Amino acid sequence: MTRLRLISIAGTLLISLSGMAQNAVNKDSTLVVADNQEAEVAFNAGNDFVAQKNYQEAINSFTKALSVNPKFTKAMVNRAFAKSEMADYNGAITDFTMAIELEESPVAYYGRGLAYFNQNNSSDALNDFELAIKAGYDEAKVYYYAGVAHFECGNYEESVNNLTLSITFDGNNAQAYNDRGSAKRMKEDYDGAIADYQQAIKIDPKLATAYNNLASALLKKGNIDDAISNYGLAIGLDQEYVIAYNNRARAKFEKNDFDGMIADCQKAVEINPNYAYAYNNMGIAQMKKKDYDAAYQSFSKAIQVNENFAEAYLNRGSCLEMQRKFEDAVADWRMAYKLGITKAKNYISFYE
Amino acid sequence: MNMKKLYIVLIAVLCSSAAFAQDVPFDKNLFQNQKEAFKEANNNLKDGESYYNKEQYYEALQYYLEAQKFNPNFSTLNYRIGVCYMNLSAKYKSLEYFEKAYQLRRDVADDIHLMLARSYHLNNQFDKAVAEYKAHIAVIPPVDAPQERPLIEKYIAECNAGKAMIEDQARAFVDNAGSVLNSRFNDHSPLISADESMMIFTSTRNNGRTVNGYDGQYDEDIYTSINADKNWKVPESIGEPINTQFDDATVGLFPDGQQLLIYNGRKGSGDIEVCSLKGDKWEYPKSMPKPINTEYRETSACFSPDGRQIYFVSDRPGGYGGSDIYVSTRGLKDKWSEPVNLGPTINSEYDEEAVFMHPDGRTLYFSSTGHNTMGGYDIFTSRMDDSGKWSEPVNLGYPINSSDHDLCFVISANGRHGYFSSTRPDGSGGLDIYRVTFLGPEKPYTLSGEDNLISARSQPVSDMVMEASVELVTIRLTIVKGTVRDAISNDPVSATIDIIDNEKNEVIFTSQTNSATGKFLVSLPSGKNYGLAVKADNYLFHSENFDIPAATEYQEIDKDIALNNIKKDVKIILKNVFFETGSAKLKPTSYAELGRLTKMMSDMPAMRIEISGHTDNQGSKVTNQRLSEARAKAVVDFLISEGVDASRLEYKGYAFDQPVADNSTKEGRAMNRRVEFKVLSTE
Repeated sequence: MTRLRLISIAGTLLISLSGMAQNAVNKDSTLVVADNQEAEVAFNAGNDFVAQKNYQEAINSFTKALSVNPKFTKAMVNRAFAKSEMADYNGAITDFTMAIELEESPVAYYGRGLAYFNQNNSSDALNDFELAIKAGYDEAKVYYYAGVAHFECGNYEESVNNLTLSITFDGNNAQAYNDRGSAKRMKEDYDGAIADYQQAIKIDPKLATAYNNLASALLKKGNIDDAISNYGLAIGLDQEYVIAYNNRARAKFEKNDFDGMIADCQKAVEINPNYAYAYNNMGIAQMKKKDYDAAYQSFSKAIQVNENFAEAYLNRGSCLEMQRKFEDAVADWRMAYKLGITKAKNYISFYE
Repeated sequence: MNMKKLYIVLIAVLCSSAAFAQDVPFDKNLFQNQKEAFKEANNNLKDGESYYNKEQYYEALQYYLEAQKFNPNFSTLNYRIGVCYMNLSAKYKSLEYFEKAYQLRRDVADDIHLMLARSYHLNNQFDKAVAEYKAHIAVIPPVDAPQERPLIEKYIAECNAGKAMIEDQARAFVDNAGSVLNSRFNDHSPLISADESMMIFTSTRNNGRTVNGYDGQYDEDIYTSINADKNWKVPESIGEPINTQFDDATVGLFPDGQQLLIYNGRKGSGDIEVCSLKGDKWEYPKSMPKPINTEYRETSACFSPDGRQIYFVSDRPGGYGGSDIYVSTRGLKDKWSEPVNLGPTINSEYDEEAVFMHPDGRTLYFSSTGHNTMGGYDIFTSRMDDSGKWSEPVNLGYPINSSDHDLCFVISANGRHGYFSSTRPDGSGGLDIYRVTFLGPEKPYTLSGEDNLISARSQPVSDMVMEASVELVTIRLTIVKGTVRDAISNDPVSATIDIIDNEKNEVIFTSQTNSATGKFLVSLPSGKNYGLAVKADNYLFHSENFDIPAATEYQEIDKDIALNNIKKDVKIILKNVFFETGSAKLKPTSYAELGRLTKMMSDMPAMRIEISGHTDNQGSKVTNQRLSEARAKAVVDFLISEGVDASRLEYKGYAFDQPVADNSTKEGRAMNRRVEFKVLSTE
């Protein structure tokens, strides 16, 4: 490589061997890479490609560096990050693991943790985040992701602790407040959750998810009007926010505002025609209005979108019962039971 | 108030005045243009009043309705039509007439508020009913208050219960059993076999005898119907000896359908009889013995599933008020034990009626005007625990129960269906049989939703904590330039230039000089030792060895080269031939130069040369002589090994006898240490 590189540079200098060529020499261009640095040159080129967001070329360059120097840990780490960017998480995990085997690298633990996280493997992600911290990676973000991974593993207390550490490092991270609010919510500390969501909103007034989550916490507290108001604010920030429309419909159910429910659910499925939850909730509103034919259609649509939607089967069964189609109702409840809703067994037993 | 508002108020007042029509009595002077019609209507009115006064409300109603068609705005007539309805089955129909009567004349009757209240109540308009009940309370004469006020308050409580029950309805469908079973007369007291395949019920439908003027019904007879393919067949009279010219009514059916309990109103104040089925014939009814029947009124009964007990209704003394439910146990020789009142949990201070025991033997159904009825008799259920204690009766709720009487409930063995009697707007007339389809347990709605609980989950996490680029070792290129000329004529020569990296022993660059100028230019990394070999046709090749010192700044080296023509005695120093120090062993870095010499010998196969070795003046002459000769020989040996014929080669060592530079300097001594070749001949 070096030789080729020299020749290439020389080629630019030796435009010709004519007398004119002497005048063409650019004195600043006469600094060249010394021999035996092919791996380093390729590594640096990879980094340049990363800066250009050309991750495939970056991977190629890092691979070239590793072909020259298979123990080039930095190239392995950077290739892993580039693979992560390309959503090749398995490849990234392999590279990070090889890098860690060569030498303990807090960054590699962190990177591998993120790759696992992106694979929704929160357990392995958590393990790596903790190893990164143990290896000295003492940054807000690693505590943040450790907190999130704890959350997804159901360790809500630990989640709160880690997110609190993250907030200690970086008190302006709205997401950390939002997620800690969610962890508190799972602990049924709704007041704490509401305070954290509010702080997240204070830091980032455009964080639509925080408004949505705040609304849901308020709904849990029975504060339905404020919940509806905050869902509305979330929708105001993100007019395509399907989840917020659907949740507002749920809140309207508590107010017996079934027309409002239907309107929100319809908006949700307009935005995302495959949003099964909204069809299910729309069906419930229609049942409340005793429009069983429409409700049946809505539940059926929910099932069409998600054939394993147990709640939709359960509700459609109840709709069919109200339509006096008892055998069909039992068939739906059987499906709901098969999909894990145990109470469906009680529904079925009455008709057996 | 501005003019616009004033107009609105005036219009409202005018409309309000128009809403109160004038009371129009049956005065011929008011109908002078309709004399014949007035005469007929007036006769109807009088006939109606005749029946009305005899409390024959059904007959009275027929005449009143005809009269009302002619003159709908007579307050008293409307009030009396309402009263007729209130005394017949379809009480709910009274409302429009009471409202009309009250609209026509506020003081149409002393009890108009009570009548309105009852009508609203029976039509489930509970708020209006309560308002009218309260209006009635306000006008109850003090003397009547102690007796009447508790009743009105009970009605108000019923309204409140009704509101709550309509708000939280029972999970059941209630359907009229249909025109096959129901007639325009009273059809009631259904009894079903446990498997719902047969029904026995009571009807006052036309049986060819005389209609009762009070209520327009025939005497009660018992009918049977078969349920085939989920359809009830046309009922048939159960016939004699059960049906008589008097009222014969169903009461209870033994689960196996072999014994039928009926009510006989002609015995005592009303007694229970039992009929047995022998083959396909019913035997003569037999009165249930004492202590079941008494001189008091026993109206309803049913057996326990094992037939060992009978639950029955009696208004005998010792109860909790009105008629109560009792139980008696069959002993030896079919002797029935002294009846036991089911107690205050079941029996209220009001009437209990129409008892039915579920085939499970523990669940009792009955009707009551007490407990939390929403009006008239409501159907209740209570369950007996293992200790024999009855649970608090539970109202079956709306829409099974209504604000009027709901009676005679029976249920299938599987609990899916029930049948009972009620009068409702969707009925065929009079009491009808209704079918209940129970829907099982409450099924809460399962809403679905989600939140973005974790911000990081909104999209894949991207955080590239990259290892930084490494610092590379760099070197500065040096420009080597010069001109290749003929050594004699000084003319530019078109030559081939090879640059050799002596460390790697490889040619790293080859090029041609400009044919017109003989110039060349090459850039080379600094800090290295290079060989330079110049070849041109008809010239001996020229080789040089030079160092380019390490440099941080741009530098140029000028190197002009003179080539010698190939001719006898011309000498060329092989500047890129190297030996181990103090040895005649060739360094590999010499091979490129020797390769060029080999090539020249190959290109000019007739040429002969002498290879000579030279030293500096350091050391002894003998040593230098030996070394210089050995080095010359080493070159010759190399050329021979490369295929050059030995006869074309000579070698000689000159020690330091032929210096080309000053031996007193280091640089001079280096130049003197050399190997040369000399052309001995070219042909």
